[in-house]
Amino acid sequence: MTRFLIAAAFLATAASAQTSEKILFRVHVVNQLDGAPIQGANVTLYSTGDQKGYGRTDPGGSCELSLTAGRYLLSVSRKGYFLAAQRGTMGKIVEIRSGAPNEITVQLTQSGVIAGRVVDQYGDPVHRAIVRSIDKLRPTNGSDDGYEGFTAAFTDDRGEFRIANVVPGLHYVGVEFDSENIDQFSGTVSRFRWPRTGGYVFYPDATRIDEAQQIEVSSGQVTRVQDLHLSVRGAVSVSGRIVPAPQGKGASVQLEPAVGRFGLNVTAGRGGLSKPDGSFKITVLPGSYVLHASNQQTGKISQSVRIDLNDEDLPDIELKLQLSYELSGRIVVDGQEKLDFSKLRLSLLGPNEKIDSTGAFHANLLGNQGLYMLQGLPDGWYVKDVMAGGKHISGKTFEAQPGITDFSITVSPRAAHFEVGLESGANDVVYVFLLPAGAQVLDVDSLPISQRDADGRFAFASVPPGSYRVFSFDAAHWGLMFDPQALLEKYGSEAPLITLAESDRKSILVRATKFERE
Amino acid sequence: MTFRLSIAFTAGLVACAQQTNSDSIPTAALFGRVVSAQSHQPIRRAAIKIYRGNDQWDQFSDADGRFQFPPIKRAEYGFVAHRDGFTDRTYKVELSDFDNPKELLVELFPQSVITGRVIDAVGLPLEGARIEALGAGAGGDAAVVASAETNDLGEYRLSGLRPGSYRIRAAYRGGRESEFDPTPLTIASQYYGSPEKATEFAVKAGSVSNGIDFTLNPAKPAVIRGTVVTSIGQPVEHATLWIMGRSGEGGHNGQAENGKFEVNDLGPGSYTISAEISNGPSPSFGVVTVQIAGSDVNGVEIVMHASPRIHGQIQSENGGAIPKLDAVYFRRSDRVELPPMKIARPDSSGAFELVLNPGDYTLTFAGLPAGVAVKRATLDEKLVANWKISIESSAENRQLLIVLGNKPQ
Repeated sequence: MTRFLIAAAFLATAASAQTSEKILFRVHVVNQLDGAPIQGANVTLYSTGDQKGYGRTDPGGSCELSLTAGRYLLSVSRKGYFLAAQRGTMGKIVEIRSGAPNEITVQLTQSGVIAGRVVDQYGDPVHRAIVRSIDKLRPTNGSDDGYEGFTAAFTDDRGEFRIANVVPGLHYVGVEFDSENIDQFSGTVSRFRWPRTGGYVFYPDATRIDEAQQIEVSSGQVTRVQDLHLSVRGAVSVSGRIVPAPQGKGASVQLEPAVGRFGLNVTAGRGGLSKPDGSFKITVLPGSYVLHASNQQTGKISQSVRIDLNDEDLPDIELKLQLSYELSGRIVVDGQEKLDFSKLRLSLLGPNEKIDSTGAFHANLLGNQGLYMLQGLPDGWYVKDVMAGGKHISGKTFEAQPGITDFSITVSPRAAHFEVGLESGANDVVYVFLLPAGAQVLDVDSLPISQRDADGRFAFASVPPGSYRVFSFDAAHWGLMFDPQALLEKYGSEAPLITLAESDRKSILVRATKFERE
Repeated sequence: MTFRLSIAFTAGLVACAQQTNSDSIPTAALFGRVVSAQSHQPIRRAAIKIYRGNDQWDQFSDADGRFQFPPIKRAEYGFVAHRDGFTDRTYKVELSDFDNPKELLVELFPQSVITGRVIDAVGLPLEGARIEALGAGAGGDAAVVASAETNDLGEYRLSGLRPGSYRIRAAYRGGRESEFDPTPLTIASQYYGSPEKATEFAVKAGSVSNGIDFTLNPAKPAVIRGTVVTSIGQPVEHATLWIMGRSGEGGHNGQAENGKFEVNDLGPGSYTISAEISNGPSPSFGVVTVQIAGSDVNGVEIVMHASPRIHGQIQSENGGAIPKLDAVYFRRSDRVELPPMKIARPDSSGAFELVLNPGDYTLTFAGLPAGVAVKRATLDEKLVANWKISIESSAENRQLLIVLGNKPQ
């Protein structure tokens, strides 16, 4: 069952208590810009996790559904449009009552279109290039270099493209072409194996996104950009030898883009294993890369080498496996309580590490960047402190030094226990979410979240001490939790503030957090 | 077909300079120009390959469509030119081609394009509909040879088609695009032409056929539920199902357990469901055709009937050692909506066994050794004409004999 239906299932209580009398419910769907009716929109009402009513709007933008009284999650969708409320909104909670006017108007915002043409270095159209609208991502987990392509289109045989469903606003436009993709999309595949060709460019003519220009997309408008000139080049090989030649399965050789991925697949870099004699050969499209090798068995890694590839093969590179980043680690219990370390699962960007009965572990990192994940702590325990190389770290990422780095995770059995009940009239709440107050969210994956239990309460068994804003989501708004920084900025002041100390047991009553309405 | 190639002799000087051992075999530089056979304009970024044994060399054509390989040894080579949007062109470089060096003219034929629009029942464009060109050859080969998707205007351009006949199909699947998407799933598919029967559509080299439009009416997918029973009405324990649309589209497997089956996610249209039991002492087969018009169909019954087991044997014409044959293919030639092929793999003694369901089949043979041909085949001692056999429902075993012999010189 999808998350959407799980959320909609919590509307069951109210709906099931009603009579079976059918009531007419009329939905009008209009364009937010000019109020014009929108034909062909899908109108769906859910409760108890099931679709209870479905219809499509007529040329007047209206749709009538016959339903029993109760509370429903109303969803309206149509390609090329999105709900005029903020992103992350799943729909609207509506109550259908007997003897009352049951009518609602829903506004949709029309998305925009980016259109244009992609030509190669000779001015010939490039067929089956992927053109994306690209946005910078909000920083998460301490990382600040992410770009993502949210909507995309392929060029046709004339090089023409139309990227539809683009959210109005400023966007980068990136084009990539990789002949290896063509076999996937073309039925008329050559039976011969051809050398890889490809390339990428950002609008208007940049190979780095920080040199690219954003274009403005308006609601309901087609923004046609000038021709994008893509230099399609043949792949070249990078080859050499790893010293000393690794035993067993060989060493991993990675060629990563030197200037970020920018949301394009073609800049994803390449990798592979060396042969038993240590030789390696990787074929990539021209560009700037960072090359390095690592041996997972020994933990030895090479220096990273920056290489700028034009149209020539680059042979005879020697990568010496001479560096190592070892962690001498320990899990420490704060206090006298016993902890069964064999139940914990600790991962450091790889398989689970072996933790001995004293909490000690040893790990090799394949570089100076580390990321830890600790799971399996009993209820009531939390990670109190993490230190790497004598420094406290926030979030999950840390930096190691060449040689041996001391690493410690202090866990405490004195997590707070927190319980949330609902005030009268807040029956639609399906999730409660705790966000650290006044601090940047560095570790989105570990944020405390609770789903309603059978008693209608939300329990948090292991909350680290601190101050939190309490957000409660109904079935229409729970998607907002995926952007916690925006939640804090926009609605933080409206969410109740709680402060929890070690071993606290607290409970509060909340109402549904009020988000912007249409 | 052999084309004469242009070779510029370099008397092995360049190659010798690159090799430590002297090599007396002369080398020559292969060069030429790639142009469109229709417009005679240069084709740029064409990939050119020459190959011999496991060795191969690639070059790309430049701004004038020209290419040149480094010097190669005087020998026979395969040669092929490739450019997206054009049909591959192959040549053979012969020794005699080295005697008359001149620029090779490589002509590529542009592939064809079909364009059109897909709308729904109220005339709104359907974005994201998939358009496929399927081979329209005999024997029910419904392989997709090219595909495209409609844009936000419902428009598509299906390119990369070689001259020939195709069936064009539009399929749409909307909604439930992620776990956060509340839009209900709706699906629809249709062949171009009559809704009852796919129309074969012929394209010429380099042609652009416009106006191949579709009107689809996406509907909630339906479920077919039913039973699989023996000829005396007993439920079968286990049967393998094959579900396929009227024109051979969307073929996929299913299972029937304890006499019951359920097939999900079917759009409006006609479907053939065949059931097969090929293991065990009593192989059997049953088939039913079901029409879906937007709602679930319950109570469908598939009645199984006996299928014969074929005992096959490969023999040598002269009674000597049996040549190794990799496989015998039994391609279904009567009904496109049934499983298209069965394969038998003879063991080291040349024996094989398989169950053939009632229908017409064409036999083909894979992996014949060099110089060996299939001389004749008999089914129950009757000569198989044109490698075609017809199988009827029966519990009796059948004997298939395939005789191999030397190819005529």
